[in-house]
Amino acid sequence: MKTITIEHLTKRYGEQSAVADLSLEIDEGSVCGLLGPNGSGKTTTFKCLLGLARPTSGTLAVHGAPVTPHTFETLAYVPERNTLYEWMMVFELFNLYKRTYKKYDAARAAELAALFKLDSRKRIERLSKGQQTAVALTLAFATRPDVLVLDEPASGLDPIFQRVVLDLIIDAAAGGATVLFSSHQIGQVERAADRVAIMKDGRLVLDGNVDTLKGEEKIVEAVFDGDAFAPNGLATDPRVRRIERNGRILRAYVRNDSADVVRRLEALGPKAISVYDLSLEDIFLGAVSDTAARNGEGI
Amino acid sequence: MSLVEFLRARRSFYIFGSILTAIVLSISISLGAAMRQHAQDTAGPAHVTITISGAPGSSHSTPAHHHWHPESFRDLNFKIPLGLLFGIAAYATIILATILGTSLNSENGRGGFAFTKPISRERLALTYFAVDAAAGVAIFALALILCAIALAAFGVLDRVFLDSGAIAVAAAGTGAALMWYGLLQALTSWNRLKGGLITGITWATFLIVLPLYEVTQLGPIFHTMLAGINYLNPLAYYTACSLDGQTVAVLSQLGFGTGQVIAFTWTLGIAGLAIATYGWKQVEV
Amino acid sequence: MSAVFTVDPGSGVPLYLQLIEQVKRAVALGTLGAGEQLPTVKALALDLTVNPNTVARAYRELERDKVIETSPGRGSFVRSEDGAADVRHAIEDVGASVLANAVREARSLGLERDTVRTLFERALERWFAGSGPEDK
Repeated sequence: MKTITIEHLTKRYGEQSAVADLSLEIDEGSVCGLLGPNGSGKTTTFKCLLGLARPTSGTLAVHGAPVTPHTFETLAYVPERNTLYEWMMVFELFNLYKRTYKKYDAARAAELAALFKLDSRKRIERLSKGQQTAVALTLAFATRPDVLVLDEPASGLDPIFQRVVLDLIIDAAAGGATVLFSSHQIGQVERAADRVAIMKDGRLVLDGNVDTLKGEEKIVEAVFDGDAFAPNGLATDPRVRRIERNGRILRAYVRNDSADVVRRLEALGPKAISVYDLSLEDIFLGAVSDTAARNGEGI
Repeated sequence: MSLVEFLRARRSFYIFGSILTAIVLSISISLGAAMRQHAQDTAGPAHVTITISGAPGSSHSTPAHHHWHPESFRDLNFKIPLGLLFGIAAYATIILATILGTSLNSENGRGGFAFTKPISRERLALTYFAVDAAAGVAIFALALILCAIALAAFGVLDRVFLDSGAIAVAAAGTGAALMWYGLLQALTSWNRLKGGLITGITWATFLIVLPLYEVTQLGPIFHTMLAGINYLNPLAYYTACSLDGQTVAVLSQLGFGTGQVIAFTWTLGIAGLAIATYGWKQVEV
Repeated sequence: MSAVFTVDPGSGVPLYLQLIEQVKRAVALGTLGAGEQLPTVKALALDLTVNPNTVARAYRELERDKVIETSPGRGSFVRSEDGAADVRHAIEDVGASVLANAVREARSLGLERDTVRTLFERALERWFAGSGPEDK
């Protein structure tokens, strides 16, 4: 069962494409971390999904249907920028949520407020950026949502509260909630997410299960005696994402079946050959770097 | 979400209401005290025209220049039509209406906080309108109470009577408030302009256009333009309310009668709100 | 008990594999005894701050490998004596993969087969002193 479905989403502002032909499906109960450099279209994707911006083309659905006000009974959104009413008191916001959501859990809100050390008698504008984020998160999680869309949920928080946010996401996911969150910190995605999607320039450049990607993506490094070797056809092999050559050392970034690539390299008679695991950070940097697209040509 | 607008309207009401109260009370107390000390006979006003703008009340009558002294007030044998107080209270309502008139706009810069709640934007808009309307009623009532306090300070509260035009003046005055409110909502609901700035611009425009329209010598094109703008100017509909014998009537710069002012201001106000709601529905954050 | 496990989400090794290996190792070392209950998926996920689906995947694979058994409503347990052979297998799996990695590394350093064997024997001497070198 797909909780979030995005098909061929394109969003243009004037001539500029903020999102280009993005398709993404997120299973129920899955936590998807959306990574990408600034301006890669993450926030625009969220806005289109939630009906805050009209897509230029493409279809978006939550629980199989376009977003309506009813969807927000069970979908919580925490935007990237703090957009709370700065002139309100924290407790007034809590009251607002209590009146707005049928599923609002006041006990949970109090619990989270204590966890984040929030003073409910304070005006929002008197809170630090991190505390404002904490208020927004407290409100979102207190509505006991089935679907959470969090745009950089841990920004402005100190490492301890960042970990609290991850725990909240994990707790929600363990309870069956589906979470889509964006982040700049790969470490957060590595921990909280089982799924990662990487965007660059409005496009989805990589998408998959975190563990599966880690299991598939390898660097095969071969050291040769001299530099007169010719890895014929390796650069055009669909499993090889990228080849680097530095004198007698050849590094191939391989997806899937590194064993076969190892065999092919062994046939060239290297002095030594090793296979290295790629961390998610390596995978991310490989996916968004400008040279990621097959710079192995000519080898 | 009605709580948001309730808190916002309440803030504006408190601030504006306190200023209003402070002004009225300080005048009442100082003048009332002065009056009690010197009770002497002088000639009083026979004709009162109350206007918020700098424009003359109407084209057909010369406004009375009243030179009154507070100490003479109580001994005059006059009665105060309730419509006059309604007319004054309407001005307070107009001012608050322009302060609250950008309530939809104020949600647009918030990354869609209001738009990601389980309430449709149409219903949200209606909720905001209803809360703002309640604030308008409250300020109207407060202004009436302040009028009563002021009159009591002068010892003339018992002179107030219900005149035949009172309800119509109230309807016309609040119609002007609604019209201005609707205009501001329609101007700002669909964009991210600063609400306060637009409110200020409408005030400046309407207060300047109103007298200019009467006296301008800048040629027919300019005159036509001003005339056009003036049809959007609530103060051109509800320019003043004038005591005329035993009752109070609306003086409209555009030459409309009280009934027409009621019909046009309410229609234009509601049309403005409909346009504003449609525009708000299209907003992308 | 859950403190027995530690994982490194930043490494290139898939988390669920790290977890599987941790559990197998704990069973092999006896820190997790036969019949002992494992933490729930949610508890372990929160304890390690990792995704619950990842933990669930590890538990599923451990069950498939017959290292643990899960009964609905009761939780997951290390298999008791009747499953000892499978646990034994699991332990050997861990050992095999550790040794395979070591050999691969050694070879990638350019060492010859005989050299690796000599080094291996030397390691055996050191760690199994007094219990096994006579089978040479």
